[in-house]
Amino acid sequence: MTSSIIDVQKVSHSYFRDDIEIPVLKQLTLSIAPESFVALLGPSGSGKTTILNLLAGFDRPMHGRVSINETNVSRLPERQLARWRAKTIGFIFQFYNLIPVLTAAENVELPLLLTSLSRAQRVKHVATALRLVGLGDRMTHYPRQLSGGQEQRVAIARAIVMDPVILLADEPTGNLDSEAAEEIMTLLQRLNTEQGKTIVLVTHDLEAAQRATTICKLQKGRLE
Amino acid sequence: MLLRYVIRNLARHPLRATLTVLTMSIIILAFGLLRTTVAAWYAESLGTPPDRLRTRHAVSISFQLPVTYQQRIAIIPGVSGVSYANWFGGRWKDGKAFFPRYAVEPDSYLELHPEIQLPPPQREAFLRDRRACIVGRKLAAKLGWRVGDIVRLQGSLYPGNWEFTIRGIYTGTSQTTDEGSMYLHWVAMDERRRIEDQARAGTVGWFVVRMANPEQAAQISTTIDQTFANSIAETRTETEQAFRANMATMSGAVIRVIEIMSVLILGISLLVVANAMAMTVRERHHEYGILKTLGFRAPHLGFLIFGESVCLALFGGILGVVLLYPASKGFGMFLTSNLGGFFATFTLPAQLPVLAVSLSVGIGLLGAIIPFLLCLRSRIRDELRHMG
Repeated sequence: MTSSIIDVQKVSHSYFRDDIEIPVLKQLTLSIAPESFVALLGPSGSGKTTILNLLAGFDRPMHGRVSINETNVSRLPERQLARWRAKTIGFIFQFYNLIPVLTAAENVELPLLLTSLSRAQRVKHVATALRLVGLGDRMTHYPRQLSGGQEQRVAIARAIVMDPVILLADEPTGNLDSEAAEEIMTLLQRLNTEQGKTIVLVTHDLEAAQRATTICKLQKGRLE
Repeated sequence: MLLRYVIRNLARHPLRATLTVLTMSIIILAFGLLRTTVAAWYAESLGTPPDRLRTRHAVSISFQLPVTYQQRIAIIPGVSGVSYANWFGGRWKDGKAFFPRYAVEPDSYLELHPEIQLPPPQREAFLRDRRACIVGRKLAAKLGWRVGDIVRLQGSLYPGNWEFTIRGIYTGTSQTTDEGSMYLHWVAMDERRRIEDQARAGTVGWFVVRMANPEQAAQISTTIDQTFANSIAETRTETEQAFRANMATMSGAVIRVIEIMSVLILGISLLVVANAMAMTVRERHHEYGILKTLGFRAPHLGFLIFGESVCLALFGGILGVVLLYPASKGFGMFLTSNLGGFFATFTLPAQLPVLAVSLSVGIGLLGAIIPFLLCLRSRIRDELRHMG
């Protein structure tokens, strides 16, 4: 038994380009406690996005084990993995990745379509999530009608609407001005402290990383 | 909400969606016209009464039979009437207006063909006058003929100049009845043959035999052909339906090509839809990656991709069917007035709109298969490549 919610044990991973092996992670071990806010800090190519891919089950490690909430993610079949991912993890991307033809509320509602919630229940959840990120009055706005910071907050609402225990954020402020970035980081901190979400933030921005409770520096596939 | 998503996706590239729908509609329109042409080609044989047989030369329709066979056929048990006819050929004016011309024994021919309707006075006038002819309603309308007009023909099969007075304009009892032909007296033709072409005098192209009981068709056909077995002109007898179908088939290489083309254009439509969907899926692969991270699986992605594809194809199909009605009317008028001998009628088959719409749905489904599989095969990691 372990007290960590995320447990990465001796994971090695490589990519192949034209049959040339490019090692990305080397015997990496990482444990993250529940309700912590961890920043993975490192330059491009250090392997931070690869760790996110492995945590989310987008990729399977070549060696080692990735466990989340005591579930060995590396061994879950694809079908179960999708269900597990939808319930356990919320994603926040650098480019917000909202669906442009759907309103803010519809974007947030997307993950709920996979549940057995009624339409009324879904609407309620969506309203709660959008209010939580301060966009209760922008529900019918399309992404093109929102600022970058607002779009990212809609993306955060979408990430939390299923009430996942873990949020994986990949450079969430990378595409924002400093004021909007500040707002987003404050929001993430609130989600961590008030909602008890475990947050793994991937960034190369030291200032953003300093908002986390723990900073892990990655260099050439290893933790420093 | 997924349906709303599908519908909004359709409007993301209005130009592409419009062009795909228009292409699809034109293809369905072309398919519909081609299928209607094929149906019209066979329509007359389907509309033929089942109680009539045709007896022709065993070798080919182009060989003649002695007219004296009529009496021998008439006494065969089960036969309730016999008439005969002959291609007349000939040319009217510059020959550009083609219409079939038959030399018939008028009294018995009209009796055996109740689908040819003439007002009684016109019928009497036609029967009385050996230099008379009757023409179909559509033919008369097309060439501006009226009762009493003189039709001058230049002989082809039977040389010389021929003049016939129109004594009647017939109508058909059903849509499949040919109203584009001309009938004249066989005896008038034969009289001249006796002088100018004695070898062919007293011969006919075929006999029309009416049966008392259509169920005896096989037996009566066999008896007729046996009657003339080992004679100088052996016969081949078949139902009029079979005769017309055979004629259609014999001269139906063009129709076969049309049938093949109608299938080919469906293949083209499939490629059009598949190409549009492949472009769409390629453009949105990043979006599908996001949906996958949210937990969307094959059935949901399938609904989005197949739904959009089917909507595109279906809208095109419905538009094509809507256009098909006026287009088939115009095309039909053109065909029946210019090729009335081949197309007595040109009516949209009742099941064609349903078939066209069903095919559109099928094309939509098939067109989305490869784009859908590509979407499924693509890994989230690659779809979200720009991460980090």
